[in-house]
Amino acid sequence: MPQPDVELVDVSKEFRGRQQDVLAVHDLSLAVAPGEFFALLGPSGCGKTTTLRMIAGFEQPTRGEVLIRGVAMQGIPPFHRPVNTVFQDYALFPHMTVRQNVAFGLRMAGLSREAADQRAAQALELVQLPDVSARRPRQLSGGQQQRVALARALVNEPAVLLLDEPLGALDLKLRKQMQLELKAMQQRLGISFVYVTHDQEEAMTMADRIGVMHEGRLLQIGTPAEIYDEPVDRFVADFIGETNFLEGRLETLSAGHGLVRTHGSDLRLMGVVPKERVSPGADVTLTIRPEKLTLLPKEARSGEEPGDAGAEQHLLPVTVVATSYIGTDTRYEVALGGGLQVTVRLQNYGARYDTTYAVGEPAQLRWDAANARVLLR
Amino acid sequence: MVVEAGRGAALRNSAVQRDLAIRAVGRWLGLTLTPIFAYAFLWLPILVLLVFSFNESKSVSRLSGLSLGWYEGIFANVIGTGADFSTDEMLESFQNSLFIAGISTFVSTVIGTMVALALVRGRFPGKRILDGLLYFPLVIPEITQGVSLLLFFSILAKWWRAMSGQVIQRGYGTVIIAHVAFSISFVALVVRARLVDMNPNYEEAARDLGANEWRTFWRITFPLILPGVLAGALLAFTISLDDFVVTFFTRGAGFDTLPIYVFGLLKLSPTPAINAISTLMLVLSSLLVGVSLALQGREARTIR
Repeated sequence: MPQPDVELVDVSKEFRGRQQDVLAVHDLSLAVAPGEFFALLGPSGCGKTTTLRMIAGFEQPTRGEVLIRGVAMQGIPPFHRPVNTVFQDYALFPHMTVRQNVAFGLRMAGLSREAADQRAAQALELVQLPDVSARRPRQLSGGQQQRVALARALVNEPAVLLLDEPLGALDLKLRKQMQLELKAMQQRLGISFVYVTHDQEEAMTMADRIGVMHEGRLLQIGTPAEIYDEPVDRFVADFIGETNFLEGRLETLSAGHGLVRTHGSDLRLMGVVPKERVSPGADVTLTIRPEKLTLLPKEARSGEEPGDAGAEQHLLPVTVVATSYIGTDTRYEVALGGGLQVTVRLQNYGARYDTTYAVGEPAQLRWDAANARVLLR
Repeated sequence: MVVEAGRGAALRNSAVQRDLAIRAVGRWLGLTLTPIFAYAFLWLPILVLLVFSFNESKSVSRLSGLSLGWYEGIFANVIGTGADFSTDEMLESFQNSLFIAGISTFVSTVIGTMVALALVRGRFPGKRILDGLLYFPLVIPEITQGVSLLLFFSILAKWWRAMSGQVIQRGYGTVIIAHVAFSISFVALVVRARLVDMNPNYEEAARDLGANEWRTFWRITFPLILPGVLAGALLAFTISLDDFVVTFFTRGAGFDTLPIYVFGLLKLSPTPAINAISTLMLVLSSLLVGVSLALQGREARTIR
């Protein structure tokens, strides 16, 4: 990897509280490559905004190091850092016109009024708002303010653009549109973005890589597909998309596959074990996405032997407990026996092709070990 | 459906009707009559003062007819019935008042704004205690303030004389210092309210865009709190202009402010001229406070 635009090395942040200190960020390390769109994803209070503020310089790490283009940022105030921020509430200066807002950073950098205004006009064109430069921010719609905030930050050509839930205040339709625009703009400009959001869909749509945070820790970094298909942590699997969890004990481990005996029943299921230290005997959670499970009619045979636990693919007898039709697909809650229950999503291709199952009907569940993950509990 | 029918039946019930009638009367008594009474209580004395300033006769208690005579007298350099006092004296005291109010307002506005900034944006131990102490001068009896300042100045004067041999007289200086002392709280409170309302992200955005603390203050913070600063300044100016007690204790001999001059008039010859002067002061003060309030309310929502 070439010199990262942003690098965090074992960064921790403690806030001194009245009763006790709060550990907002815990030993966090990450590197954002030049031109990369990096999303920090997590629920509110997970430390993602604090992490962003440490890159911007509004907070100082308690431990660890923040580097921007290889330069240690320890003690360097925000106004000397080559980064710019798009704030959640935009924070456009209400007493200035849009042009003055966008030109502010350039003026602070010592550009003449003429040069700054010219560059500001170009930046406003970039965000497709060339005609509002004489107006005040509050005369603009939320979407327009968002674009102005973007122009005000981008006009300074930062090494990294930091975005703190910039689309949170927009309605769904506008948000979807802006997601695509932002991504296209980022790719065109080649500026690396660090984008904080709690919206997993937003992160998946835009980011090259996602860092999932929870309670101050960075649990996993990966491409959207890796985060979704190969979660290394129970929280990551749960936070992103929908998934099934089956608790059990790891019996054997071979060639990256683990055989799990589920609690409360005699089921033995196989799944992929991520590259971490899980040894047989450990309490584990098996997780598998509902759309990666399939139902087959009771009498169907497809090469696999039912209940052949050692095989990578096998069929399990199940009973349909509940169904719900949700348009693109149909959800089935099926009982595996022993009190275990999983959700299966079958895509609806059309009446001609779909096999449907009624409540109470026996069926077979196809379990593919390649789609199941064995996670430490 | 059952519930709906039950409600309908209850509305026809006479006990409910009676209850509603009592509530209506109670509401009228509580919400309409009480404020009318309270406002009459507040404003009637001032109204009386205002009316008697137009009294034809010399009496300050019996209205005999309306005239602008007392006002004419003030503008014709005569206060009172005879030529007992001249308006020049009053104008001189008024000038003193303006001079003291002007300087004390400027000083207390600068200090008060800085105090507000420190209390809202600063991080230091004991901040909450200091925050609470800000209200203190507002509730200390003025007489206590006056006496304490008088004692403070005499101790200071004694100490200064022992140190340097020079004698400090009480006068403009001591009055101005006293006025600054009680004005700071008012300014700081008004500016603090504005600062608390202000979204701190504006300042962070400015720093993010390359402005250091000094430039952030003058380009962002100050323009945004300016209405609050002006409102605080006008409030300080009005209070200084109106102050009697503290001025009385700290002024020393030899010069009057307008309120003290009026008090002197009152002791010597209580005539409606005093009402006229008071009315003029009232108009001026109301104007200043009105502008102050308008500034405090102006665009308050735009800085959130």
